Amino acid sequence: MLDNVIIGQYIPGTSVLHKMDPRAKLLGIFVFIFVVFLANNWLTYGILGVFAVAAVLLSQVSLRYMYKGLKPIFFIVIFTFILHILMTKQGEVVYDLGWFKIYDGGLRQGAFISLRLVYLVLVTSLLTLTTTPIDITDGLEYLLGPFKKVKLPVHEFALMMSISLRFIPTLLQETEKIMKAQMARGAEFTAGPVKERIKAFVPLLVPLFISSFKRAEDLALAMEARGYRGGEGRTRLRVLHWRFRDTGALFLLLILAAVLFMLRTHG
Amino acid sequence: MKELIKVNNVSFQYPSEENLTLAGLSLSVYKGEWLAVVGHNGSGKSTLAKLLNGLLLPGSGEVKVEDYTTANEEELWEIRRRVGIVFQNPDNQFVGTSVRDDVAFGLENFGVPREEMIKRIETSIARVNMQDFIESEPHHLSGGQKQRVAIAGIIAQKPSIIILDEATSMLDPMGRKEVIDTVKQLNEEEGITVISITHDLEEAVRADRVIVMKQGAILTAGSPREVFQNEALLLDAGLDLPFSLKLGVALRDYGVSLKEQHLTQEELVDALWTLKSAD
Amino acid sequence: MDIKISGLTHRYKAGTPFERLALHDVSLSVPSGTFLAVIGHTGSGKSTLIQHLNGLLKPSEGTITVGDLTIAAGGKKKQLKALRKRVGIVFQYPEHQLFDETVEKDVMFGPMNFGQSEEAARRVAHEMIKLVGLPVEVLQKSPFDLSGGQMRRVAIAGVLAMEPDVLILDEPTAGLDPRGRKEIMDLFRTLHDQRNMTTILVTHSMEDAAYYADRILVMEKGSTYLEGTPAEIFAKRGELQAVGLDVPETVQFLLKWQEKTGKPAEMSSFTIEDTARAISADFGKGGSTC
Repeated sequence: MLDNVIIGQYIPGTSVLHKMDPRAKLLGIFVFIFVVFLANNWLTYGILGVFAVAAVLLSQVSLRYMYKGLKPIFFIVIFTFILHILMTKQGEVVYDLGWFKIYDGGLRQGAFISLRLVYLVLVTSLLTLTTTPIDITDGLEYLLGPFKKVKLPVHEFALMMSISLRFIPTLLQETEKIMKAQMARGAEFTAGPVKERIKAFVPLLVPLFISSFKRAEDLALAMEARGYRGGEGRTRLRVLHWRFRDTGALFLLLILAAVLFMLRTHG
Repeated sequence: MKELIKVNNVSFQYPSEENLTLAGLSLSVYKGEWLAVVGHNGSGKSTLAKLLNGLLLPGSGEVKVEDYTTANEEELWEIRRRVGIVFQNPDNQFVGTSVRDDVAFGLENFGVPREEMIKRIETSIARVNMQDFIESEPHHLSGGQKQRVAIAGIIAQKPSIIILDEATSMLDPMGRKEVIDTVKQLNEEEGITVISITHDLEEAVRADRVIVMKQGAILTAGSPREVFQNEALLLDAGLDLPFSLKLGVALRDYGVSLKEQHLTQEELVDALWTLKSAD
Repeated sequence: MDIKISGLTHRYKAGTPFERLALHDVSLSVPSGTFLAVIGHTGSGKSTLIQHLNGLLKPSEGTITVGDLTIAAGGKKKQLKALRKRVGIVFQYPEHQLFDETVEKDVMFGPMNFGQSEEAARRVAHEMIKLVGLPVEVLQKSPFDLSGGQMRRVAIAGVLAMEPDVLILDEPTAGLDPRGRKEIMDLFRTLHDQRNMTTILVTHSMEDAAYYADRILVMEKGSTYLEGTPAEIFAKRGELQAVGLDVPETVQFLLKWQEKTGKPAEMSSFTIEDTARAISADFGKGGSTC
């Protein structure tokens, strides 16, 4: 059941997106988040959709895999959609049940917000699918570099992140293992009323918490044994290369932003 | 033989414990030897390992590595570069997100220039026979492979000593063999000194020297032949006997009059055959 | 309880780029009361196989029958839970699954999940703690205040408390010292004999397989490679070595001895005792005098 989570999973590949500088991708996503909020009519959402699909195709990640990975968020998307239908009372009534009316404004609003969610998840998961976590971290460390001057612990933050990312698969494996062990003892994680279900997670979370503590302790010791003493005086193996295509990609995004700004409904 | 490590009358106590974990322990480790440290859980073996590269500091006494002492904080880094430890849990010492990054971690810490780093990473990964996995992520590697990467990370630092702190106890037999064979090669071909803290008596039998620990002190030390001669002492230390010794004991119970202890199956078979021929 | 597996195939992470065939067309029958050892390398499919036996994994193809319960591809959830009641698993490093405030509560977790009353569960917890060789005083302690070896015993008691008919042991002695290893294995053999259970032991130790099991299954690359009594399996040293396994130390020794004497040594028992006796026979009465 944990196999389906794709956020944080990296899929090796050689696509253009894989080859881009992580800094460009991070900046790109940053820009994209703003761009998504520019869209406010069918045309602009349509353009964003074309853009998002194009990005997925460029990444060469199989569509079936993307679809499977998105499935867990469908619940949230549908929930958001229904919520908007219930709450929004604008425009014409398209459906009348007597006690309850559906307005076209609600339908549109629901569709827009749902699309926005899908686009955001799609594009951000493309970042992790095509960029190794360590590249993301490197990118962040570089981008945040200037903040070192104001004593922001950028190196420590980056290291913390890379270690967390390194341990995500390990912890997922561990979660699955403990889950199975408790299921073998008759525990159920998916049935019953909410209160019961929350209680059901105690046998999973306590062992997970304990083992994570143990891991952290071991890891700190191993790092010290290997001569770690903070960022000072450290050299780095990994260097990033900013290429023409990175500038190009960001430029494209800015054009997209400009186009969306012009085509959005003003007022 | 050149003395690499000198532990001089060291005592150590964890703040949470009532008793001393190590009590007045002295020990020398010589260049190029394979030293096995055995003893049951709680005998102080792992604490000793951590004292040898300054992860723990002695309450009293001194630990010296080459000309450096762990008492001097400035010298700790020199010591840690020279003494590498492979810990028990393969997962919990893998820092990098790939094999290459993990091997680089130590080198980055010691400020090795990038060009030099790339060269050393290549050779040390090849040295542990992991060159086909250089880009692999840790969760796609077996326990034995992860431990070999840990070894690569250490040899990239050009150490003089590798400590295996129960490094094979969580591995399957194949992984165990991979790790021991790799370290054996480094020991024989490059003269790297090995201190192996282990439960595996079959491995201890093959060491140059064995130390048996009990309650924070050295119960006995010597060549495997000397140490394993004394069954009673081993049992007293809470240890099992290696297979050939156990079989030897059983044979004597059945009236086969073997004169001494035999460490390996080959020796025992030969001794039995000699005995039978004289029958 | 009889176990029958037929044509079992399992695809791991089906439908993702990481899809892998973990089991391929495995058929096996384990009569009630058998002590079966499953050996093979990491990744040979051992763990995948045993997880099917209590419904933690569902078959991609084929069926698993335990007693009168049959699980096929796409089986119902209710069936899986019924299966779990009959089949207990002691996972590798089972102490990692402990979670409750007291040992007693932790051991009671399993039986209560399967609908036992608190009273009955408490009774069985007391019984099992004694059975695994711990004093009843530990019941009121936190499991996290115990030593590693004690924690393992508590976890084992937690599985036994469900009173399963079939007990699956996934390398139950991993990481223990030699003495702890022997104590735990002896415990399982005694339980097996006294409670008339069916026991399946997954192990890397040829010695354990030889001493404790009635039958041995060797897995390789997701398929069954060899199956038979220990004597049958360990007579096939060449085939074992071909997949990187070997015979137990006692057999290795007897083979070496056989080479010297030229007489075939008897190899039906694999304890050090019996090996010593077999060899001492070659010395006749002369052996005891010199």
